[in-house]
Amino acid sequence: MICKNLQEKYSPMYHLGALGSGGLAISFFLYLNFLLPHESGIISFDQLWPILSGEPSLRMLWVGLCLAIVLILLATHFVLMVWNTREFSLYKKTEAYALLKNSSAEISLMVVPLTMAMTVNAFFVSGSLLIPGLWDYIEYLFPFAMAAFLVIGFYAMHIMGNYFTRMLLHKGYDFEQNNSLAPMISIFALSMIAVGLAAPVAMSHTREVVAIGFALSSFFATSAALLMLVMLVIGFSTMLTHGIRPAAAPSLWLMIPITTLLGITFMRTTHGLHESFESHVGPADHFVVLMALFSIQIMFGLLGYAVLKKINYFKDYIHGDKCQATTFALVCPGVAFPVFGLFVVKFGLLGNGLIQMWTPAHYLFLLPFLLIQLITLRTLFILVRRLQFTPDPAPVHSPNMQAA
Amino acid sequence: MKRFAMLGLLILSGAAWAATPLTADQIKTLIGGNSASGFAEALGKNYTAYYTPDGKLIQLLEGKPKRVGTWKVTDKNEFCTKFPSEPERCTKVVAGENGEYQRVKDDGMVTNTWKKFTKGNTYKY
Repeated sequence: MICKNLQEKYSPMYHLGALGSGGLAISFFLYLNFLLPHESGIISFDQLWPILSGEPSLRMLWVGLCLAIVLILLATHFVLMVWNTREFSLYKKTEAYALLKNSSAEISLMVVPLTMAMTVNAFFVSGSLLIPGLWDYIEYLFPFAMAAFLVIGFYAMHIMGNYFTRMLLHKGYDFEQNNSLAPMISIFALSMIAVGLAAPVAMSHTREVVAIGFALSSFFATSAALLMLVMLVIGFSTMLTHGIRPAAAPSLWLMIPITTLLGITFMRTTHGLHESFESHVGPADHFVVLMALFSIQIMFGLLGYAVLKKINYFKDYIHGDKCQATTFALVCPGVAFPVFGLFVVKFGLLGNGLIQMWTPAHYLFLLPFLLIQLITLRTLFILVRRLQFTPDPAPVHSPNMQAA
Repeated sequence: MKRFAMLGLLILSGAAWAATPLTADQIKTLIGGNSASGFAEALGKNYTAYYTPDGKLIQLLEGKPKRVGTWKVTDKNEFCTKFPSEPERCTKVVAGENGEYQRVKDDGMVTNTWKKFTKGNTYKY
Protein backbone atom coordinates (compact mmCIF):
# COMPACT_ATOMS: atom_id res chain seq x y z
CA MET A 1 0.00 0.00 0.00
CA ILE A 2 1.34 3.44 -0.89
CA CYS A 3 1.71 5.85 2.01
CA LYS A 4 -0.58 8.85 1.81
CA ASN A 5 -0.70 12.36 3.27
CA LEU A 6 3.03 12.65 3.91
CA GLN A 7 2.63 16.43 4.20
CA GLU A 8 5.99 17.84 5.41
CA LYS A 9 7.65 14.44 5.15
CA TYR A 10 7.08 14.50 1.40
CA SER A 11 9.86 15.53 -0.96
CA PRO A 12 9.40 16.61 -4.60
CA MET A 13 12.38 14.33 -5.28
CA TYR A 14 9.94 11.41 -4.97
CA HIS A 15 9.06 12.31 -8.54
CA LEU A 16 12.34 10.60 -9.46
CA GLY A 17 10.64 7.27 -8.68
CA ALA A 18 8.00 7.96 -11.32
CA LEU A 19 10.64 9.29 -13.67
CA GLY A 20 12.79 6.20 -13.20
CA SER A 21 9.98 3.75 -13.88
CA GLY A 22 8.90 5.69 -16.97
CA GLY A 23 12.48 5.86 -18.19
CA LEU A 24 13.04 2.16 -17.61
CA ALA A 25 9.86 1.42 -19.57
CA ILE A 26 11.22 3.45 -22.47
CA SER A 27 14.58 1.69 -22.23
CA PHE A 28 12.97 -1.75 -22.63
CA PHE A 29 10.66 -0.36 -25.31
CA LEU A 30 13.77 0.47 -27.33
CA TYR A 31 14.46 -3.25 -27.86
CA LEU A 32 11.12 -3.53 -29.63
CA ASN A 33 11.70 -0.27 -31.45
CA PHE A 34 15.24 -1.00 -32.62
CA LEU A 35 15.06 -4.74 -33.24
CA LEU A 36 11.77 -4.95 -35.11
CA PRO A 37 11.11 -3.33 -38.49
CA HIS A 38 8.57 -0.52 -38.68
CA GLU A 39 7.77 2.25 -41.09
CA SER A 40 5.91 4.21 -38.44
CA GLY A 41 8.06 6.61 -36.39
CA ILE A 42 8.11 4.19 -33.49
CA ILE A 43 7.07 0.55 -33.21
CA SER A 44 3.32 0.21 -32.79
CA PHE A 45 0.57 -2.29 -32.04
CA ASP A 46 0.18 -2.95 -35.77
CA GLN A 47 3.65 -4.51 -36.07
CA LEU A 48 3.57 -6.30 -32.70
CA TRP A 49 0.16 -7.95 -33.01
CA PRO A 50 1.04 -10.23 -35.98
CA ILE A 51 4.05 -11.49 -34.00
CA LEU A 52 2.12 -12.04 -30.76
CA SER A 53 -0.84 -13.69 -32.47
CA GLY A 54 1.20 -15.79 -34.90
CA GLU A 55 2.92 -19.16 -34.63
CA PRO A 56 4.74 -19.71 -31.30
CA SER A 57 8.39 -18.76 -31.75
CA LEU A 58 11.41 -17.41 -29.93
CA ARG A 59 10.59 -14.01 -31.38
CA MET A 60 7.08 -14.16 -29.95
CA LEU A 61 8.58 -15.02 -26.54
CA TRP A 62 11.01 -12.11 -26.31
CA VAL A 63 8.60 -9.63 -27.84
CA GLY A 64 5.89 -10.71 -25.35
CA LEU A 65 8.30 -10.57 -22.40
CA CYS A 66 9.64 -7.18 -23.39
CA LEU A 67 6.15 -5.80 -23.94
CA ALA A 68 5.01 -7.08 -20.53
CA ILE A 69 7.97 -5.38 -18.80
CA VAL A 70 7.28 -2.13 -20.67
CA LEU A 71 3.58 -2.14 -19.77
CA ILE A 72 4.19 -2.97 -16.08
CA LEU A 73 6.75 -0.17 -15.81
CA LEU A 74 4.47 2.28 -17.62
CA ALA A 75 1.67 1.39 -15.20
CA THR A 76 4.10 1.92 -12.30
CA HIS A 77 5.00 5.31 -13.74
CA PHE A 78 1.36 6.40 -14.00
CA VAL A 79 0.54 5.17 -10.46
CA LEU A 80 3.56 6.96 -8.97
CA MET A 81 2.82 10.10 -10.98
CA VAL A 82 -0.77 10.26 -9.69
CA TRP A 83 0.54 9.68 -6.14
CA ASN A 84 3.21 12.36 -6.52
CA THR A 85 0.74 14.88 -7.95
CA ARG A 86 -1.58 14.39 -4.98
CA GLU A 87 1.18 14.46 -2.37
CA PHE A 88 2.89 17.44 -3.98
CA SER A 89 -0.32 19.47 -3.89
CA LEU A 90 -0.60 18.73 -0.14
CA TYR A 91 3.08 19.49 0.40
CA LYS A 92 2.67 22.90 -1.25
CA LYS A 93 0.44 23.95 1.67
CA THR A 94 3.13 23.20 4.27
CA GLU A 95 5.81 25.39 5.81
CA ALA A 96 8.44 23.04 4.45
CA TYR A 97 7.46 24.07 0.93
CA ALA A 98 7.70 27.78 1.79
CA LEU A 99 11.19 27.18 3.19
CA LEU A 100 12.18 25.22 0.10
CA LYS A 101 11.00 28.02 -2.16
CA ASN A 102 13.28 30.46 -0.36
CA SER A 103 16.38 28.31 -0.39
CA SER A 104 18.97 27.13 -2.91
CA ALA A 105 17.02 23.88 -3.01
CA GLU A 106 14.22 25.60 -4.93
CA ILE A 107 15.87 24.44 -8.14
CA SER A 108 15.05 20.84 -7.16
CA LEU A 109 11.42 21.68 -8.06
CA MET A 110 12.55 21.24 -11.66
CA VAL A 111 12.08 17.53 -11.04
CA VAL A 112 8.32 18.15 -11.40
CA PRO A 113 8.33 19.39 -15.04
CA LEU A 114 11.04 16.82 -15.75
CA THR A 115 8.72 14.01 -14.69
CA MET A 116 5.72 15.58 -16.40
CA ALA A 117 7.64 15.52 -19.69
CA MET A 118 8.31 11.83 -19.11
CA THR A 119 4.56 11.33 -18.60
CA VAL A 120 3.86 12.78 -22.06
CA ASN A 121 6.40 10.31 -23.50
CA ALA A 122 4.78 7.50 -21.51
CA PHE A 123 1.34 8.39 -22.92
CA PHE A 124 2.79 8.42 -26.43
CA VAL A 125 4.43 5.01 -26.04
CA SER A 126 1.36 3.50 -24.33
CA GLY A 127 -0.87 4.73 -27.14
CA SER A 128 1.41 3.38 -29.83
CA LEU A 129 1.66 -0.04 -28.17
CA LEU A 130 -1.98 -0.46 -27.21
CA ILE A 131 -4.13 1.35 -29.78
CA PRO A 132 -4.43 -0.34 -33.20
CA GLY A 133 -4.08 1.98 -36.16
CA LEU A 134 -3.07 4.98 -34.04
CA TRP A 135 -0.22 5.74 -36.39
CA ASP A 136 -2.68 6.53 -39.18
CA TYR A 137 -3.71 9.63 -37.22
CA ILE A 138 -0.32 10.53 -35.81
CA GLU A 139 0.04 13.77 -37.77
CA TYR A 140 -3.04 15.09 -35.95
CA LEU A 141 -1.53 14.18 -32.57
CA PHE A 142 1.84 15.91 -33.00
CA PRO A 143 0.49 19.45 -32.41
CA PHE A 144 -1.11 18.29 -29.13
CA ALA A 145 2.11 16.61 -27.99
CA MET A 146 4.07 19.75 -28.86
CA ALA A 147 1.57 21.91 -26.97
CA ALA A 148 1.89 19.65 -23.92
CA PHE A 149 5.70 19.88 -23.97
CA LEU A 150 5.50 23.63 -24.46
CA VAL A 151 3.24 24.08 -21.42
CA ILE A 152 5.67 21.98 -19.38
CA GLY A 153 8.49 24.07 -20.80
CA PHE A 154 6.81 27.28 -19.60
CA TYR A 155 6.38 25.75 -16.15
CA ALA A 156 10.06 24.79 -16.06
CA MET A 157 11.09 28.28 -17.19
CA HIS A 158 8.87 29.78 -14.48
CA ILE A 159 10.64 27.76 -11.77
CA MET A 160 14.07 28.60 -13.18
CA GLY A 161 13.16 32.25 -13.60
CA ASN A 162 12.12 32.55 -9.94
CA TYR A 163 15.25 30.74 -8.81
CA PHE A 164 17.78 32.70 -10.84
CA THR A 165 16.07 36.05 -10.23
CA ARG A 166 16.19 35.49 -6.48
CA MET A 167 19.79 34.27 -6.59
CA LEU A 168 20.95 37.16 -8.77
CA LEU A 169 19.12 39.86 -6.83
CA HIS A 170 19.68 38.62 -3.30
CA LYS A 171 23.00 36.77 -3.62
CA GLY A 172 21.34 33.72 -2.13
CA TYR A 173 23.57 31.03 -3.61
CA ASP A 174 25.46 29.30 -0.83
CA PHE A 175 28.53 27.72 -2.40
CA GLU A 176 29.47 25.91 0.78
CA GLN A 177 26.13 24.15 0.96
CA ASN A 178 25.77 23.43 -2.77
CA ASN A 179 28.79 21.25 -3.17
CA SER A 180 27.40 18.85 -5.79
CA LEU A 181 26.02 18.78 -9.32
CA ALA A 182 22.45 18.60 -7.99
CA PRO A 183 21.34 21.91 -9.60
CA MET A 184 21.88 20.14 -12.91
CA ILE A 185 18.48 18.53 -12.39
CA SER A 186 17.21 21.73 -14.04
CA ILE A 187 19.29 21.02 -17.15
CA PHE A 188 18.03 17.46 -17.11
CA ALA A 189 14.48 18.91 -17.24
CA LEU A 190 15.25 21.28 -20.12
CA SER A 191 16.88 18.42 -22.06
CA MET A 192 13.83 16.22 -21.51
CA ILE A 193 11.57 18.95 -22.90
CA ALA A 194 13.95 19.44 -25.85
CA VAL A 195 13.93 15.75 -26.74
CA GLY A 196 10.15 15.63 -26.48
CA LEU A 197 9.77 18.55 -28.86
CA ALA A 198 12.25 16.90 -31.22
CA ALA A 199 10.02 13.82 -31.60
CA PRO A 200 7.71 15.45 -34.20
CA VAL A 201 10.83 16.72 -36.00
CA ALA A 202 11.93 13.13 -36.54
CA MET A 203 8.53 11.60 -37.19
CA SER A 204 6.26 14.14 -38.86
CA HIS A 205 6.01 14.44 -42.64
CA THR A 206 4.55 17.95 -42.40
CA ARG A 207 7.29 20.51 -43.00
CA GLU A 208 5.63 23.17 -40.86
CA VAL A 209 5.36 20.81 -37.89
CA VAL A 210 9.00 19.78 -38.36
CA ALA A 211 10.11 23.43 -38.52
CA ILE A 212 8.15 24.51 -35.42
CA GLY A 213 9.26 21.42 -33.49
CA PHE A 214 12.86 22.08 -34.44
CA ALA A 215 12.72 25.76 -33.41
CA LEU A 216 11.19 24.97 -30.01
CA SER A 217 13.42 21.98 -29.37
CA SER A 218 16.45 23.98 -30.36
CA PHE A 219 15.58 26.68 -27.79
CA PHE A 220 15.41 24.21 -24.92
CA ALA A 221 18.42 22.16 -26.06
CA THR A 222 20.58 25.26 -26.50
CA SER A 223 19.49 26.63 -23.11
CA ALA A 224 20.32 23.27 -21.56
CA ALA A 225 23.75 23.12 -23.20
CA LEU A 226 24.64 26.67 -22.13
CA LEU A 227 23.47 26.20 -18.53
CA MET A 228 25.22 22.84 -18.40
CA LEU A 229 28.57 24.56 -18.95
CA VAL A 230 27.80 27.15 -16.26
CA MET A 231 26.59 24.60 -13.70
CA LEU A 232 29.46 22.24 -14.38
CA VAL A 233 32.00 24.96 -13.68
CA ILE A 234 30.20 26.17 -10.53
CA GLY A 235 29.54 22.59 -9.36
CA PHE A 236 33.12 21.41 -9.76
CA SER A 237 34.46 24.61 -8.23
CA THR A 238 32.36 24.13 -5.07
CA MET A 239 32.98 20.38 -4.91
CA LEU A 240 36.73 20.83 -5.24
CA THR A 241 36.69 23.54 -2.60
CA HIS A 242 34.32 22.01 -0.05
CA GLY A 243 34.19 18.34 -0.99
CA ILE A 244 31.04 16.63 -2.25
CA ARG A 245 27.92 16.24 -0.08
CA PRO A 246 27.55 12.45 0.33
CA ALA A 247 23.75 12.52 0.01
CA ALA A 248 24.08 14.36 -3.30
CA ALA A 249 26.90 12.23 -4.68
CA PRO A 250 24.66 10.53 -7.32
CA SER A 251 24.41 13.97 -8.93
CA LEU A 252 27.86 13.24 -10.42
CA TRP A 253 25.96 10.89 -12.71
CA LEU A 254 23.45 13.53 -13.88
CA MET A 255 25.65 14.23 -16.88
CA ILE A 256 24.68 10.77 -18.19
CA PRO A 257 20.92 11.42 -18.65
CA ILE A 258 21.60 14.96 -19.84
CA THR A 259 23.99 13.86 -22.59
CA THR A 260 21.65 11.00 -23.48
CA LEU A 261 18.74 13.38 -24.02
CA LEU A 262 20.78 15.96 -25.90
CA GLY A 263 22.26 13.17 -28.02
CA ILE A 264 18.81 11.81 -28.89
CA THR A 265 17.66 15.36 -29.65
CA PHE A 266 20.54 15.61 -32.13
CA MET A 267 19.65 12.25 -33.71
CA ARG A 268 15.97 13.16 -34.03
CA THR A 269 16.72 16.60 -35.42
CA THR A 270 19.19 15.43 -38.06
CA HIS A 271 16.82 12.65 -39.12
CA GLY A 272 13.89 15.08 -39.43
CA LEU A 273 15.88 17.69 -41.31
CA HIS A 274 17.09 14.97 -43.67
CA GLU A 275 13.56 13.74 -44.39
CA SER A 276 11.86 17.14 -44.65
CA PHE A 277 14.58 19.62 -45.60
CA GLU A 278 16.98 17.41 -47.57
CA SER A 279 19.91 18.20 -45.30
CA HIS A 280 22.16 15.18 -44.99
CA VAL A 281 24.06 13.91 -41.97
CA GLY A 282 25.55 10.51 -42.72
CA PRO A 283 25.94 7.44 -40.49
CA ALA A 284 29.63 8.24 -39.96
CA ASP A 285 28.75 11.73 -38.68
CA HIS A 286 26.27 10.17 -36.28
CA PHE A 287 28.97 7.76 -35.12
CA VAL A 288 31.32 10.66 -34.32
CA VAL A 289 28.74 12.53 -32.21
CA LEU A 290 27.42 9.39 -30.51
CA MET A 291 30.91 8.26 -29.52
CA ALA A 292 31.85 11.71 -28.20
CA LEU A 293 28.78 11.78 -25.95
CA PHE A 294 29.21 8.14 -24.99
CA SER A 295 32.78 8.93 -23.92
CA ILE A 296 31.51 11.73 -21.65
CA GLN A 297 29.07 9.25 -20.13
CA ILE A 298 31.76 6.70 -19.47
CA MET A 299 34.01 9.35 -17.89
CA PHE A 300 31.29 10.62 -15.52
CA GLY A 301 30.09 7.07 -14.96
CA LEU A 302 33.50 5.96 -13.74
CA LEU A 303 34.07 9.10 -11.67
CA GLY A 304 30.65 8.79 -10.02
CA TYR A 305 31.08 5.09 -9.35
CA ALA A 306 34.49 5.62 -7.73
CA VAL A 307 33.12 8.34 -5.43
CA LEU A 308 29.90 6.49 -4.54
CA LYS A 309 31.83 3.30 -3.79
CA LYS A 310 34.34 5.19 -1.64
CA ILE A 311 31.60 6.72 0.53
CA ASN A 312 29.66 3.42 0.74
CA TYR A 313 26.68 5.05 -0.93
CA PHE A 314 25.18 1.86 -2.38
CA LYS A 315 25.33 0.06 0.96
CA ASP A 316 24.18 2.94 3.13
CA TYR A 317 21.55 4.49 0.92
CA ILE A 318 19.99 1.61 -1.03
CA HIS A 319 20.11 -1.05 1.67
CA GLY A 320 21.03 0.93 4.79
CA ASP A 321 19.22 3.39 7.03
CA LYS A 322 20.23 6.48 5.05
CA CYS A 323 17.76 5.67 2.27
CA GLN A 324 15.91 8.80 1.15
CA ALA A 325 13.97 10.29 -1.74
CA THR A 326 17.11 11.54 -3.47
CA THR A 327 18.42 7.97 -3.68
CA PHE A 328 16.00 7.58 -6.61
CA ALA A 329 18.50 9.72 -8.54
CA LEU A 330 20.53 6.53 -8.98
CA VAL A 331 17.86 5.21 -11.35
CA CYS A 332 18.24 8.02 -13.91
CA PRO A 333 21.78 7.17 -15.10
CA GLY A 334 20.90 3.47 -14.90
CA VAL A 335 18.21 4.19 -17.47
CA ALA A 336 20.02 6.77 -19.57
CA PHE A 337 23.25 4.85 -20.07
CA PRO A 338 21.61 1.75 -21.64
CA VAL A 339 19.25 3.94 -23.66
CA PHE A 340 22.18 5.78 -25.18
CA GLY A 341 24.08 2.53 -25.52
CA LEU A 342 21.26 1.13 -27.64
CA PHE A 343 21.48 4.24 -29.83
CA VAL A 344 25.23 3.71 -30.22
CA VAL A 345 24.68 0.07 -31.22
CA LYS A 346 21.81 0.90 -33.59
CA PHE A 347 23.09 4.04 -35.32
CA GLY A 348 26.82 3.80 -34.65
CA LEU A 349 27.63 0.13 -35.15
CA LEU A 350 24.71 -1.28 -37.16
CA GLY A 351 24.17 1.99 -39.03
CA ASN A 352 27.74 1.97 -40.31
CA GLY A 353 27.70 -1.72 -41.21
CA LEU A 354 30.29 -2.55 -38.53
CA ILE A 355 28.11 -5.37 -37.24
CA GLN A 356 25.00 -7.13 -38.51
CA MET A 357 21.76 -7.75 -36.66
CA TRP A 358 21.18 -11.04 -34.84
CA THR A 359 24.86 -12.00 -34.86
CA PRO A 360 27.07 -12.84 -31.87
CA ALA A 361 28.64 -9.39 -32.10
CA HIS A 362 25.21 -7.78 -31.92
CA TYR A 363 24.28 -9.77 -28.81
CA LEU A 364 27.68 -9.05 -27.27
CA PHE A 365 27.23 -5.30 -27.60
CA LEU A 366 23.67 -5.39 -26.25
CA LEU A 367 24.53 -7.55 -23.23
CA PRO A 368 26.20 -4.95 -20.94
CA PHE A 369 23.33 -2.55 -21.44
CA LEU A 370 20.76 -5.23 -20.64
CA LEU A 371 22.66 -6.08 -17.44
CA ILE A 372 22.66 -2.42 -16.34
CA GLN A 373 18.93 -2.22 -17.07
CA LEU A 374 18.26 -5.28 -14.90
CA ILE A 375 20.39 -3.90 -12.03
CA THR A 376 18.53 -0.58 -12.32
CA LEU A 377 15.18 -2.37 -12.36
CA ARG A 378 16.11 -4.17 -9.14
CA THR A 379 17.26 -0.92 -7.53
CA LEU A 380 14.05 0.87 -8.54
CA PHE A 381 11.83 -1.76 -6.97
CA ILE A 382 13.92 -1.86 -3.78
CA LEU A 383 13.57 1.91 -3.44
CA VAL A 384 9.88 1.99 -4.30
CA ARG A 385 9.23 -0.72 -1.71
CA ARG A 386 11.33 0.99 0.94
CA LEU A 387 10.07 4.50 0.45
CA GLN A 388 6.43 4.31 -0.47
CA PHE A 389 4.91 0.90 -0.16
CA THR A 390 5.28 0.56 3.59
CA PRO A 391 3.11 2.17 6.27
CA ASP A 392 6.24 3.70 7.80
CA PRO A 393 8.45 4.88 4.97
CA ALA A 394 12.18 5.29 5.39
CA PRO A 395 12.93 8.69 6.87
CA VAL A 396 13.63 11.61 4.62
CA HIS A 397 16.81 12.98 6.17
CA SER A 398 17.26 15.64 3.56
CA PRO A 399 14.39 16.15 1.17
CA ASN A 400 16.57 17.52 -1.60
CA MET A 401 20.00 17.06 -2.97
CA GLN A 402 20.94 20.57 -1.97
CA ALA A 403 21.12 21.85 1.51
CA ALA A 404 18.90 24.80 2.33
CA MET B 1 47.58 -16.91 -35.93
CA LYS B 2 46.71 -14.14 -38.34
CA ARG B 3 44.17 -16.39 -40.08
CA PHE B 4 42.51 -17.25 -36.77
CA ALA B 5 42.31 -13.57 -35.92
CA MET B 6 40.74 -12.81 -39.30
CA LEU B 7 38.25 -15.66 -38.85
CA GLY B 8 37.38 -14.36 -35.37
CA LEU B 9 36.75 -10.88 -36.70
CA LEU B 10 34.65 -12.27 -39.54
CA ILE B 11 32.49 -14.25 -37.13
CA LEU B 12 32.22 -11.31 -34.75
CA SER B 13 31.21 -8.93 -37.51
CA GLY B 14 28.47 -11.30 -38.57
CA ALA B 15 29.51 -11.19 -42.18
CA ALA B 16 29.51 -14.97 -42.26
CA TRP B 17 25.79 -15.00 -41.47
CA ALA B 18 24.73 -12.58 -44.19
CA ALA B 19 23.10 -14.16 -47.25
CA THR B 20 24.34 -12.99 -50.65
CA PRO B 21 22.08 -10.24 -52.01
CA LEU B 22 20.67 -10.42 -55.53
CA THR B 23 22.35 -8.35 -58.26
CA ALA B 24 20.56 -5.48 -59.97
CA ASP B 25 19.79 -7.64 -63.02
CA GLN B 26 18.46 -10.48 -60.87
CA ILE B 27 16.16 -8.06 -58.99
CA LYS B 28 14.85 -6.58 -62.26
CA THR B 29 14.12 -10.05 -63.63
CA LEU B 30 12.40 -11.12 -60.41
CA ILE B 31 10.23 -8.05 -60.04
CA GLY B 32 9.72 -6.14 -63.31
CA GLY B 33 6.33 -6.85 -64.88
CA ASN B 34 5.40 -9.32 -62.14
CA SER B 35 2.96 -9.51 -59.24
CA ALA B 36 3.72 -10.56 -55.71
CA SER B 37 2.00 -11.42 -52.48
CA GLY B 38 3.82 -10.98 -49.22
CA PHE B 39 3.99 -9.72 -45.69
CA ALA B 40 5.29 -6.26 -44.82
CA GLU B 41 6.95 -6.78 -41.44
CA ALA B 42 7.50 -3.03 -41.17
CA LEU B 43 3.75 -2.44 -41.41
CA GLY B 44 2.51 -5.67 -39.85
CA LYS B 45 0.26 -6.31 -42.86
CA ASN B 46 -0.17 -8.75 -45.74
CA TYR B 47 -0.25 -7.23 -49.19
CA THR B 48 -0.39 -7.92 -52.90
CA ALA B 49 1.34 -5.77 -55.51
CA TYR B 50 2.02 -5.36 -59.18
CA TYR B 51 5.35 -3.94 -60.38
CA THR B 52 4.99 -2.59 -63.93
CA PRO B 53 8.03 -2.93 -66.23
CA ASP B 54 8.33 0.88 -66.42
CA GLY B 55 8.71 1.37 -62.65
CA LYS B 56 5.16 1.89 -61.42
CA LEU B 57 4.07 0.06 -58.29
CA ILE B 58 0.44 -0.64 -57.37
CA GLN B 59 0.01 -2.09 -53.91
CA LEU B 60 -2.99 -3.27 -51.90
CA LEU B 61 -2.31 -3.54 -48.19
CA GLU B 62 -4.65 -5.56 -46.00
CA GLY B 63 -7.46 -3.29 -44.76
CA LYS B 64 -6.19 -0.26 -46.69
CA PRO B 65 -7.12 1.38 -50.00
CA LYS B 66 -4.99 0.67 -53.07
CA ARG B 67 -1.96 2.96 -53.38
CA VAL B 68 0.33 3.81 -56.26
CA GLY B 69 4.05 4.47 -56.04
CA THR B 70 7.24 3.82 -57.95
CA TRP B 71 10.04 1.24 -57.85
CA LYS B 72 13.58 1.18 -59.18
CA VAL B 73 16.82 -0.77 -58.89
CA THR B 74 20.05 1.14 -58.27
CA ASP B 75 23.62 0.47 -59.44
CA LYS B 76 24.38 -0.58 -55.85
CA ASN B 77 22.05 -3.56 -56.26
CA GLU B 78 19.40 -1.91 -54.10
CA PHE B 79 15.66 -2.17 -54.63
CA CYS B 80 13.91 1.12 -53.85
CA THR B 81 10.24 1.97 -53.47
CA LYS B 82 8.61 5.35 -53.01
CA PHE B 83 5.05 6.28 -52.18
CA PRO B 84 3.70 9.86 -52.12
CA SER B 85 4.35 11.70 -48.82
CA GLU B 86 6.74 8.96 -47.69
CA PRO B 87 10.52 8.81 -47.90
CA GLU B 88 12.14 6.50 -50.44
CA ARG B 89 13.05 3.14 -48.92
CA CYS B 90 15.97 1.19 -50.37
CA THR B 91 17.02 -2.32 -49.37
CA LYS B 92 18.96 -5.32 -50.58
CA VAL B 93 17.00 -8.32 -51.81
CA VAL B 94 17.99 -11.79 -50.61
CA ALA B 95 16.59 -15.20 -51.42
CA GLY B 96 14.99 -16.99 -48.47
CA GLU B 97 13.57 -20.47 -48.01
CA ASN B 98 10.71 -22.03 -50.03
CA GLY B 99 11.01 -19.60 -52.92
CA GLU B 100 10.53 -16.58 -50.68
CA TYR B 101 12.52 -13.37 -51.04
CA GLN B 102 13.19 -10.74 -48.43
CA ARG B 103 13.94 -7.03 -48.40
CA VAL B 104 16.85 -6.52 -46.00
CA LYS B 105 18.27 -3.22 -44.75
CA ASP B 106 22.04 -2.65 -44.53
CA ASP B 107 22.09 -3.58 -40.84
CA GLY B 108 20.42 -6.95 -41.54
CA MET B 109 16.84 -6.01 -40.55
CA VAL B 110 14.17 -7.74 -42.65
CA THR B 111 11.41 -5.28 -43.57
CA ASN B 112 9.39 -7.23 -46.10
CA THR B 113 8.91 -10.84 -47.22
CA TRP B 114 7.69 -11.72 -50.72
CA LYS B 115 6.00 -15.08 -50.33
CA LYS B 116 5.07 -15.68 -53.94
CA PHE B 117 5.77 -14.14 -57.35
CA THR B 118 3.53 -14.60 -60.38
CA LYS B 119 3.96 -13.48 -63.99
CA GLY B 120 2.14 -10.36 -65.17
CA ASN B 121 -0.65 -8.39 -63.53
CA THR B 122 -2.18 -11.36 -61.67
CA TYR B 123 -4.42 -9.29 -59.40
CA LYS B 124 -5.67 -7.08 -62.25
CA TYR B 125 -4.39 -3.78 -60.79
